[in-house]
Amino acid sequence: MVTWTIRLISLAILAYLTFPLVVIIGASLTTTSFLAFPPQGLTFDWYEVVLTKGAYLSAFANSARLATAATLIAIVMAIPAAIAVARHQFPGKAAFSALLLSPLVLPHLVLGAALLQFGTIIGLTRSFIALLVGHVVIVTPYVMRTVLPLLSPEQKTLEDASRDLGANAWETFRYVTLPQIRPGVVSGAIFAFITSFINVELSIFNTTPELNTIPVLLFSYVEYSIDPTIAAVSAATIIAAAIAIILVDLFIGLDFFSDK
Amino acid sequence: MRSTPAIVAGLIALPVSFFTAFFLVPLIVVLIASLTNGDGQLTFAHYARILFDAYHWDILLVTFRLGLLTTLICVVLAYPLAWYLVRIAKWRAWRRLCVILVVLPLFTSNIVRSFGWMILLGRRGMINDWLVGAGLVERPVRFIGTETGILIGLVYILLPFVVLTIGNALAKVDPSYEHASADLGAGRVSTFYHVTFPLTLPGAVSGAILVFALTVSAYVTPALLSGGQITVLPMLIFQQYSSVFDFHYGGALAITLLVFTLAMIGLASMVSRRGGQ
Amino acid sequence: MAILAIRDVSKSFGRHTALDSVSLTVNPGEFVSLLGPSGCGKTTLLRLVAGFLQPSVGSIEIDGRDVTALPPNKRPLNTVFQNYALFPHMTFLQNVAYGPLRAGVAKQDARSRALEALEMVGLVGLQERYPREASGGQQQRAALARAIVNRPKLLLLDEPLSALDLQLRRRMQIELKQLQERIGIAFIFVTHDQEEAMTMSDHIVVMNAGSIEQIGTGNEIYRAPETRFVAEFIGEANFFVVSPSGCDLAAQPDGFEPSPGSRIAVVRPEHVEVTTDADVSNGFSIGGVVETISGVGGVTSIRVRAGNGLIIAKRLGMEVPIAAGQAVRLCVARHNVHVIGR
Repeated sequence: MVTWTIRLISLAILAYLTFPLVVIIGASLTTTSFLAFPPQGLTFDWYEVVLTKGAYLSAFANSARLATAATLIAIVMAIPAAIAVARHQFPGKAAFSALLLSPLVLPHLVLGAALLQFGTIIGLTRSFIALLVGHVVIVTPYVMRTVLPLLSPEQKTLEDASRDLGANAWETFRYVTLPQIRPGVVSGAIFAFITSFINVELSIFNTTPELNTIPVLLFSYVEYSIDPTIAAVSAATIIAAAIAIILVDLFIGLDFFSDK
Repeated sequence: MRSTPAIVAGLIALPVSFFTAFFLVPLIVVLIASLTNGDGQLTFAHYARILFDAYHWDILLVTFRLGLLTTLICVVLAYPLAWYLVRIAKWRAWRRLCVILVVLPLFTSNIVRSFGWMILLGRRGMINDWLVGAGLVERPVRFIGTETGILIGLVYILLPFVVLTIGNALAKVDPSYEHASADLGAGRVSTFYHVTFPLTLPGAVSGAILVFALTVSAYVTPALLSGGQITVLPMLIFQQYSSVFDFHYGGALAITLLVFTLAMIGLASMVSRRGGQ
Repeated sequence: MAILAIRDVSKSFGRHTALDSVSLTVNPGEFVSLLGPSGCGKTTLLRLVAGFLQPSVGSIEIDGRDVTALPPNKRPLNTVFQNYALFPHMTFLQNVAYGPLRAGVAKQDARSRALEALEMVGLVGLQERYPREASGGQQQRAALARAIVNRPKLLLLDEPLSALDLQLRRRMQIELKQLQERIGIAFIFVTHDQEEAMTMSDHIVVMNAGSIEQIGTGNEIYRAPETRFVAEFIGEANFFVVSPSGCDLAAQPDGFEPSPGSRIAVVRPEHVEVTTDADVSNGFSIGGVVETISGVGGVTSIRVRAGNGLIIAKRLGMEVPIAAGQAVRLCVARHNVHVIGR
């Protein structure tokens, strides 16, 4: 009895979580020139319109470039930082890891405002680099957070064994440490990429009509008009997200709640 | 690996300088701006303005009310779903699908997710069609531009996060405690109340506090669903930086939000640490 | 009347059959051990009785009442869990009072009953401890107190001593047996440790691969195993092929296919006599060469290569007038050969 009630409530909540996304995908297929759900008719015309609209295409390209660059830089910074925290003792270690992890929980809007204000002082505003530094700050913690747990004390024994067998520090990192932390790097990189790709609060301060990202562009459109091309672009990002999640699930496993 | 200063320095040099330059220093710049006037002199006028202006009190009240309600509703909804995912859904493939459905919104931009609700909650949107069609209301209800509309959107944005937090707390509770409780004669509801709930409480509370902090600093969803009728603190901050260009007053608002968020996070980690003992 | 009657119970998980048509009765006040290697189905059987699992087929009766469809909280029994499952957010007293409180007993009475149960297991004065503040042995006792406070008709114990070190374990075995005799509740005790089962039980149920191999007293199971599995699992054993002409010490069943219709005999190592006297022919005998000699705890094991394998002999005392490499003769008296079906 109780179990069935919970089952029913859970299915309703799952429907609530999925429904708006289904609505967007549905609305993007309507033949009407206004948004309609359930869609009237079925057409992919709005996707075609999107593909011929320069603003969307360049925003897509910008978002992809930005997310890729931010993720790569984040990996380069997060791996040594995680090794330093997990394997070494040094003064200020707690402050160091707090510094690198805190962007996870601080309001991105405040960070965006701060970077804009700081940027006007040093002359770094409304450019790709200005966007990039902010994105690196918010995505680095994701990689660090997924790598850290894989550098457990038990893993250190493997590294000691490697040194004992005559490998130098680099060889040990290359052949022992890196393979151990690879799943963390991959999942962290995926989270980092997505976090960057969907960000509005940070990017909005440094974008211009010429240099826009896809979520910020959508934001500015949605504020003034709602038409099916917006739904088409949104639907495309939802499907991309779904593919990314399924990939994460296949390679790393999203089954958070099993075992343990 | 030995911890020579040279090795440590080599590992942390780049992250430390990057985060100092593009994270710490910008925040300090904001802090300084919030405490100075246009001539660079120290003043608390911007903070005084926030504290003593009734307009701000209204905005803060709305922001906090939305934050509190969102948190409460999220926790109430998240418990059954988390329970279902952790304890009831036995078939692996189905549970994986459920987890994907929970996580998918987290992988989608706030814009896109709020946009979905703009379609649904509009005056002629599907929700109103249903309500009118079912005879529950006579005329379409106004959602966009009301706190209810923003609340629906915010709960939607933050619910997956709470489900994951409570789900994690639940997964850490050894099912043998629940078995022991049943063995000793307690029914399901009694077992939940006496055993499961107290054991997951620290995790749930620290998750709830973080959600409260996230709600209070949310910008996109309130901005889209407010229809220009309602202002919350993050919207006020954005106005100062993007259209009013008052970095001093905007800075004071930003620092207020930041300090509040930090306090909430400190509280959350205190709760979860005490629960972990 | 039996306190517990399990009738033809089977349990499968998907395609895997964990229990295959198991029947068992337990009488009031009896101490019964379920003994077997991990994966034999003993824990599954216990969980079926407790109500955490539902049988695929069959029925379970407790005290004459069919409980097959009842949830765990409605069954008149209690369980001591393997990891104790003491509620970490409650003191020992709160843990033990939990059962009476759920049964609707008034707070004061629940408290005094809990204190009484704690006293029975020797935890007087520790009632305000939290589980994490107590030692493994104390947690074990608290779990026991919590399970007996409701005076169940049947107590299930799922390897309750496995987390304790050897010495404490030995002491708890004796205490547990004494407690059981004092309160007179039937115990079903799951273990994979044969010595533990031998020390404590009135009856031992030996299980393997989802079925019951044999039920009997410790003595019966040791002296007269019904299957090769039982003989091997309880103590050490030598196996020989039995032909119409008698027990062939030169032919051990491993290593060659026994001819159809032949049977197998069990000979315990202490019944194998080792002698340097070549003429002795008491019962069955065979010549061989000593391979190793080792002594533990006053018992000496002698491994002798003979026939197609190794034969193990044991004798009391650490001093034996035999050395490795020596030729010896092994003898087994006729009455010490126990023939089993398969």
